[in-house]
Amino acid sequence: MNEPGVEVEGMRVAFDGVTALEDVSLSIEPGEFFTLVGPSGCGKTTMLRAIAGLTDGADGSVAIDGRDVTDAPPEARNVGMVFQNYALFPHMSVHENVAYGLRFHDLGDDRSEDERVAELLDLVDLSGVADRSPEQLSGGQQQRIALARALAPEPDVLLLDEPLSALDAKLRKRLRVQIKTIQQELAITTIYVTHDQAEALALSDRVAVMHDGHVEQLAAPETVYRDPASRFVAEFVGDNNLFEGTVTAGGTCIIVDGAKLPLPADAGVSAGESVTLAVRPEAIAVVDGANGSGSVETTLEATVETVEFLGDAYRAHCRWQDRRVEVKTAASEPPSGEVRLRFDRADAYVI
Amino acid sequence: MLRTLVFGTTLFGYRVTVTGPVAIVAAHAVAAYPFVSRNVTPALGSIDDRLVDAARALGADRTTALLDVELPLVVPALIAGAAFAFAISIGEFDSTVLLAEGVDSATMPVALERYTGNRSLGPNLGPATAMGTVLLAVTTVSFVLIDRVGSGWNQ
Repeated sequence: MNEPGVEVEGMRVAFDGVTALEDVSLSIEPGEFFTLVGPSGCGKTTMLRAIAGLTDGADGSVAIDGRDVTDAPPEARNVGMVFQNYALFPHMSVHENVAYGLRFHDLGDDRSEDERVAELLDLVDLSGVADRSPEQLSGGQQQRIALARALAPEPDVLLLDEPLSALDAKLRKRLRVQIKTIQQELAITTIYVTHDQAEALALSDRVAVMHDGHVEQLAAPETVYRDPASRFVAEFVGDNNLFEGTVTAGGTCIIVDGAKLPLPADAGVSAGESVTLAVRPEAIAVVDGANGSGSVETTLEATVETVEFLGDAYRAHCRWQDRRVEVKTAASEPPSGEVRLRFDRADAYVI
Repeated sequence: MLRTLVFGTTLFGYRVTVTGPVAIVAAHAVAAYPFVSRNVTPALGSIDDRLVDAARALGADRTTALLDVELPLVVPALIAGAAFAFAISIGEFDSTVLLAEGVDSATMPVALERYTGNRSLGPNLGPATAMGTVLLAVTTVSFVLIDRVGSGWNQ
């Protein structure tokens, strides 16, 4: 029983000659919460639809729980799918929506349809709405009904296509916790598509960052955040300050616009190489001009241009030698004027 | 000209004539077809594709999804289209009067014409007026129907 939950091999999809996916392979563990994240047009939704069997002209194999479904129509794949716009049947009540998939599936036990629907409405905390019509519900409630509907036939894999994108920020955060809780409770293999990198990091066991039809990096959220595999990932996931420069003769620093910046000890670069050094805004400390240490290698003399108050921190947009440097500081007062920015070389990484 | 184009045509030396009830039904179908398709096509086109995707992921095959999801959602447009077709059919005169030549059964406007234009017995205004009133009522009811149900699901 060590079959992967979902195995996709060599998936290629092109629409009218434009490549949407170029030879992507994925292996997703049973019970895993797996996220495809990327900007719009990166192929993440195409990938999800290909797994569901909803993409015409998908070239590549798909197996669910070891069962090859490459040639199976969507209705024979036993997947549960949730869409961004809920896609609830407007002419059916909530009960009928949730019960719809049950007529095609024999769950192999003696639970009646009514019991199963009640069970699912309870799971999504919406017990009292069975007789309502979907349009009487709020967006968040509709999406929970859509989730209940997708889970009703006990699918082998749950596919979520930007399920929270149509909701407001507060609701989005609450609902994502609920989705994660339900996913863990049912231990169901889940593939989640989002353009929101914060959502991807918050929810997933593993994340695949997609760009232009291919996977840029596939790793745990922590790895994607702390050790991005490419410049694209570094810029897409979280905020980053990027410094392009040439490695010095000693291999310990790079020269950026005539200034020396220290490289992390294990950078593994050779002298003269052109590399990019990335530093997260929260890894940079703002040091007062007066009591900053004099180390030239670690300190940037910068001017604060704009400060945003984030509640728990300030985000300062500074200018250092014609470059913008973003700093996040938990200080109680907003930084201003001439400052020194300092970071530990261990917190920087080379792309 | 009338002999060949309107009442039939000559094929391989045989004269093929189509008149009577079948021809009348066919002519009315042709006249009503654009009104039905103008109603139903946009309604079908406005159905979110993802509703069908959702039904299929839940286990419905394409035909079942059509019957369970798409058709119920275009029922208002179908009813409006049918009411249009009915109103057109019941009021249609030009082609019917030609095709009903020599046939006993005819549509109401043709029967009406026969009552008012009967040359041997003289105009019979009583039945003609009654039929005219019925026609008016039926057409009014069908347009009220179009107006009430034709708006469809508010999506």
